[in-house]
Parts: sequence; structure tokens; C-alpha cells
Amino acid sequence: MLQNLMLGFSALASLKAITSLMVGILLGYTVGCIPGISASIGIALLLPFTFGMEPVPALCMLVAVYMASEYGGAIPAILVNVPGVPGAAAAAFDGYPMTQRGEAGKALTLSILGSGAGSFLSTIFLILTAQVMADVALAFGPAEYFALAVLGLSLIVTLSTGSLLKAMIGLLFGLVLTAIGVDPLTGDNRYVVVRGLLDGIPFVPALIGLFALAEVFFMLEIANQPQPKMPTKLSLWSSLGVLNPHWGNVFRSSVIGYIIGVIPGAGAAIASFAAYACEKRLNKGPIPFGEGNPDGVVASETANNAVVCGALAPMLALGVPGSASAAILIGGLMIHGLQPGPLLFTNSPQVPYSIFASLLIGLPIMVVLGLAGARLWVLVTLIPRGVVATMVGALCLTGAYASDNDEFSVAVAVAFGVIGYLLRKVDIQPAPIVLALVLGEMMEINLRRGLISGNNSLMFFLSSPISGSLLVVAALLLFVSLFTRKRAVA
Amino acid sequence: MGTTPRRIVVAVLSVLAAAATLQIAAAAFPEKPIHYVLHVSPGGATDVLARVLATALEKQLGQTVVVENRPGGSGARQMAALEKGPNDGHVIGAVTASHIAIFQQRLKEYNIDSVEWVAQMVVDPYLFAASPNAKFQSLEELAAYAKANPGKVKIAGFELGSGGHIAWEILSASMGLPRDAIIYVPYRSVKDGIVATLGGHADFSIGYVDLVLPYATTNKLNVIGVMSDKRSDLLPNAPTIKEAGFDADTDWQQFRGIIAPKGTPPDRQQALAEAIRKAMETPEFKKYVKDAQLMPEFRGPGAFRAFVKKQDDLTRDWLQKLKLAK
Repeated sequence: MLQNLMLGFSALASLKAITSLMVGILLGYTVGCIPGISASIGIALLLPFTFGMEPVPALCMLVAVYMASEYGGAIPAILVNVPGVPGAAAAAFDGYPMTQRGEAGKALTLSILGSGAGSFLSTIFLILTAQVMADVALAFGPAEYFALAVLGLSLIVTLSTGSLLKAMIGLLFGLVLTAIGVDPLTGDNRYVVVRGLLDGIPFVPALIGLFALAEVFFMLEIANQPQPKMPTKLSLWSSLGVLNPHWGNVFRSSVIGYIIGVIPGAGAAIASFAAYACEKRLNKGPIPFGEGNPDGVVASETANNAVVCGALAPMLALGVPGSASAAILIGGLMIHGLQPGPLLFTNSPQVPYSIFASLLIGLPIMVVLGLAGARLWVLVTLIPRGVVATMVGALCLTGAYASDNDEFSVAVAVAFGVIGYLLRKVDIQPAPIVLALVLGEMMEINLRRGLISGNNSLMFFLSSPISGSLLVVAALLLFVSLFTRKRAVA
Repeated sequence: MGTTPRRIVVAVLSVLAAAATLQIAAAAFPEKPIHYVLHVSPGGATDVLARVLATALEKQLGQTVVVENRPGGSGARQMAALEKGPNDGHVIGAVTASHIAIFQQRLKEYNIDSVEWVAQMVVDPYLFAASPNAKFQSLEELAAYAKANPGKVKIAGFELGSGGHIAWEILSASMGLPRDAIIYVPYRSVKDGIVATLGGHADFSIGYVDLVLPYATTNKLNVIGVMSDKRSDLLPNAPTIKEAGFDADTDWQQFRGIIAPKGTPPDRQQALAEAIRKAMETPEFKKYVKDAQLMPEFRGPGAFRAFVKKQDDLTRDWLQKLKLAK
């Protein structure tokens, strides 16, 4: 293995490879910052430009874009409460309250260091366990996916702040929305009132509306109120120490992110929600989660970056992509005549190992660029709210268009912006809706597939050890939370 | 009434217009970049094939070929872009067998006559691959086992009514199996079905050579039947369905090709098809086809349309038989 890793490093020992790595990281930051251009869309946009390149630099560049964009999404999430990528939604829960307290610099520093640490740990996991994890990916069939979706939805009792009833309303609203679109098994049209809805409500524009545009409307509403506190500056030396109290969190969130990344179809959004919920349960600190607890930012950012390596594991070892972005990377392999599959490690070891090496070389670059950027980005908090709102609004609409190259997506974003704004007025938060949009289809399609597979018996879902235990955990989570909540009220 | 000045003007204008049209037809084609509209997002097999073809076509046509990804709406966005045209040969689109089933099931305002069928490039015969842990390792054993244990065997495939589903029903009928002998579990893509079989969530699945080959060569899957007249060069040990003793229609195949907006002039369709045929002969394209394990099989406009017509009829029959017709 060490020998192969050396092979990987030597494949990268060229100016061309290092330059493409740097370009990839910078592009990734930009892609991540713009709401609407998520990691997968960024990689897809860049893919055609890599066709003329050598395979190793091309793949390293695409992986760098993937990694950096999962981080970049946290920047707008922390500064203006607008997540740049779906996986950064949880980073806003505590990152934005920190900004309002004048701790934007600290939050940004935590997010880049958390991302860096999560990426590093998960790269080590990837190098050591890629082949084993491929089997974990395969273990997920209809029963396991259904159970995973139920567990994911049950996180809502932990994630939600305030009224559980309102969180449930949001969750059910989201689930109802996932019923729209062509039936995934039979092809019947369901509520397809306009053609744009054939594939269901487009996810990224809906997300832009619920989080970003709704926030823009709020910013405009309070544009005349005084600006948040001037951020306190951190010296570069002290900023390196801010992660020290959070190492336990970093380790747990990396493991959660890595494993969820391995499972095909479960991506950064689910991982960051799960890691956030886990840390919230464990929290014994003075600041509640949701009011600017640094652990919330660390958990979300560590987990969503650990997903990247998790998603690469089954892709490299088996040719089965662990996420939408990894699926596009497979196209990048294919165009260079490389067949992703169980033979990749045997026939072309330089490819997986140079990706590992590029992650190890790219990470310090990503962290240094991120730390430098963090000192610059805090200045955004000094810009008057009205101006920020206008700029973010313009970016949102552009991002919505770019996500699908379609005017319909812009209309969806605006409609969801209005819905999100109105729902927040009655204190229904967007997070439960997004959780349902992410998991609703996974739950429905695998419930039905499982019923077909198991001759219409619900016992099918308890028959496998994985799905059985996931369902039990979900049930426990639900009952324990209901019980503790009731006690807290009484 | 009589000859009013207005009528003269109209007459003169129409003559001029006719002359102009003649001139355009005679002008060198193509005179500007060609837009190549896809129904898929970047990165998949159809996208990669399109980009390799686009590069090879540019050399044949002397014009840039711009690949445009318009995924979504089960192909509705690609069809809308094609309808917008113009139908002068400067707009072409990617097409696969799935378009036919989609026209019949989802986008009912379209049918195979809504576009011009310019050229077929590659075919992909359907095949059936069993998990090494399955209780059967050949089609005969499958037939015997399924008859003895109805409802125990699961096949993973693409959506209900898809090409792969129909391929399975064609085989199943030729095996004389009752409809409920084997459970068909639909997945989001052919590849997802293969992954489910790899993970032991189904006993066997439908696939294509390029998707199954990496797993067949590492003994993670066993190809028990290929739905074509001759064995695949890449899977020389896998029997054809006829060799296994079942008489299924091997004309039912997945294919990839090029379509153009309705009304694209026949001479331009011919010119495009000729350029595609030449592009497919270039070493770059041949290398790609070999690397990607595709089976090139060129058909020009007339032959492609006839082939598609047969697929369309088969699809209609089977959707009715399966009670999936809408």
C-alpha cells in the first residue's frame, strides 16, 4: 500500500498536476459559495474542460473541486444565513448566530479547520478501508434504505428548536411535496400540472428559495436596523488553536460523515444533519445548539467534508458511486478509457492512489487558502444589509437558473422563497422541510420496492440486521425525545 | 378584385423567397456551429459518447459541434429544445431506446414521427446476470427453479415498462413462465439494479455488456444469457439465449443514435449521417468504442427509421400485454 501511495505521489510530482489541484480548489470555493451551484453541478460544469487533460491531473482537479465546494458552502451560510450547498444548511444553524454575536471570524475559522480535519481523517479512513467499505455500500438494499430514511426523518425531533408540532408540520409539508412528479416505479404522472414538474420539484431551486431567498426577504425587512457587531479579529496563531476544544466532535462527525458518504444516495446534507443532531444530544456546554454553539458549526462542516472521501470509497473500489458528485467523477474516469470497477485498483493503481495523494497534498492548500479567505470574508458583515440582500438575491436567481439551465427553476426558487418567508413568519423552520425533500423519495421508493420484494409483508423491513437496528434506533430516538421534551415542559 | 398592387408585391416576394430558399439549400452545409442536444446530464455513458462523437464530427463537418445538456422532465426539455429548432440540420439530438417507451408512456404528445431519425451508432444487447450465490447458474436452471419455487426468485431491473423490463418479459414468455413466477423489482437505473444484485438484494438482474463486464470478469456476477444472435466478443463464455434453448426475439435491443427536429431536409439528414458514419471510422472513436465496450452498428436515416418502427410496435404490444399502456 505504501509503495502504491508513493506511486501516487510521484504521479502528482509535476507542475501541471499541482496547478490543476490549486485551480480545482479555487474553483471549488467559488462553486460552493454560490447558492445553486452545488458540488455535483460544479463538477459537471467543469467535466468537459478536463477531457483534453491527462487522466491524473484531470481527476485530481475534479476531486479538489468536490472537496473545496463542500467547504465553500459554509461561508455564505455563516455570514448571511444562506447555505451555498445543501450540506452547509446545518452550518448556518449556529454559524449565523455566531456572526450576529460578532464572532464571524471564529465561526469561519472553525468551519475551515473542521473541514480540513474532517477531510484529513476521512482520507486516512479511505486509504485504509476503501475496499471494505465497498461491501457496506452493497449491503444497502430496499429494506436498509427505507430504514435509513426513517432514521433520518426521526432526527427531526433532535434537530428542531422550539415547537415539535411545527417541526412535524414542516416535515409533512416536505413529504407531501415529494409526491409530486412522475411515479418512480410505474411512470404515472402525479400532480404534474406543468411539465417542469415531471421529475418532481427541482431540489436545488427549492432549497435556494426556502433558505436563501426567504433570508433575503428578512434582510430587506430589517435593513434599517443597526448592523451586527464588528467582528473581533483573530490572530493567525490563535486561530489555529480554536479547534482544540472540539477534537472529540471532529472525530465523531468524521466517522458519521464517512459512513453516510459510503452509502449511495445518502449525501452531505444527511450527514451534516446527522452529525449536528449527534453533537446536540451530547452537548453539555453553556450555549444551546441553534444559538451560536461552535460545536454545531464544527459538526456540520466536518461531516460534510468527510462525506467526500466516503463517497469515493465504493466508487474507486467497486465502480458504485456513493453520491451524485461521485457519479459524475465516474464519467471523468470513463472518458479517459478507465473502467471504474473492482479491477481499477489492480489494473490502474496509479489512479486511486494519486487521488489519495492529491487529497493529502490538497488539504493543507485548502486550509491555508480557507484561513486567508476567512480573514477577508468577515468584512462582508460590514456591508449594509440592503446591499448584501440585493447581491445575494441576484446570486440566488442566477444559481437557480444555472442549476438546471432552465427558467422554470427560477420560478420554483421564487415561489419557495415566498413560501419559506411566510412559514418562518409562523415559526415553521425550513430545515424539517429540506430533510423531508432529501429523504422523502428514498423512503417512498424503497418502501414500495421492499413491499414488492417481500411479497407485501412489512416484516421484510425487520428481516435484515441493518434495517432492523436502524428502525429500532429511530423508534428509540422518537420516544426518548418525546419523553424528555415533555419533562422539560412540565 | 383583380391584380392589386398588393398581390403583385406578395407574388414578387414569394418568388424571391423561393429563390432564397433554393440558394440556402445549395449553400455549403453546415454553415454555422451545430447544436447537439442531450437529454442527460454530463458524466453518464450517453454524455461521454456524445462528447467523443462531437469531437470526431467537428473534423468531418468543419464546424464546431456544441454539446448542450438538457436533462429533466424524462426528456421533455430535450424535446422542447429540438422543437424550437431550427430544422435545417444545425440542431441534432441524442436518442436511446428509452425515448420510445417514454413517448408511449409519459410524453404522450410525442411519437416516433415527432422527430427525424438520422443515424444509429451503437447497439447494446440486453443480458441477464446472476449472483454467484443464486440457486441457478444458467437459464435452464432458472426456468426449472422458478417453476418449482414460484415467487421466490427476484430480478432487479430498470423501471416498469422500460426496455429492460420488456426484454425480461420477452425472455420470460419464451421460457413459458407464469407472470408471477419471478418477482420483477424496479430500480431507478439499470446500473442500480446490477448494484442490488451485487449486494444480494436480488438473484439476478438485467444489464448491458459495458455495465456488467467489470463484475463478470471478477466473478461477482455470472452472465447466464445474452439477448443477441451471436455471443459478445467481450464475454465469450456467456451463451446467447438461443444457445440456452429459448426462442426469444433478439431484435429487441437498446440502441443509441442521433435524431433531428421534424422537417429537417432529407439531403441534410443524409449529409449528417454520412459525416457520423465517417466519424465512427476514425481511430479516436474506434478506441473509445473499444474502451467503453460498446457495439458499433451504423444505420442511416431510412434503415434507422425502419428499425425504430419495429421497436415502437414491439413496445406498444408489450405495454398492452403488461397492462402498462397509458
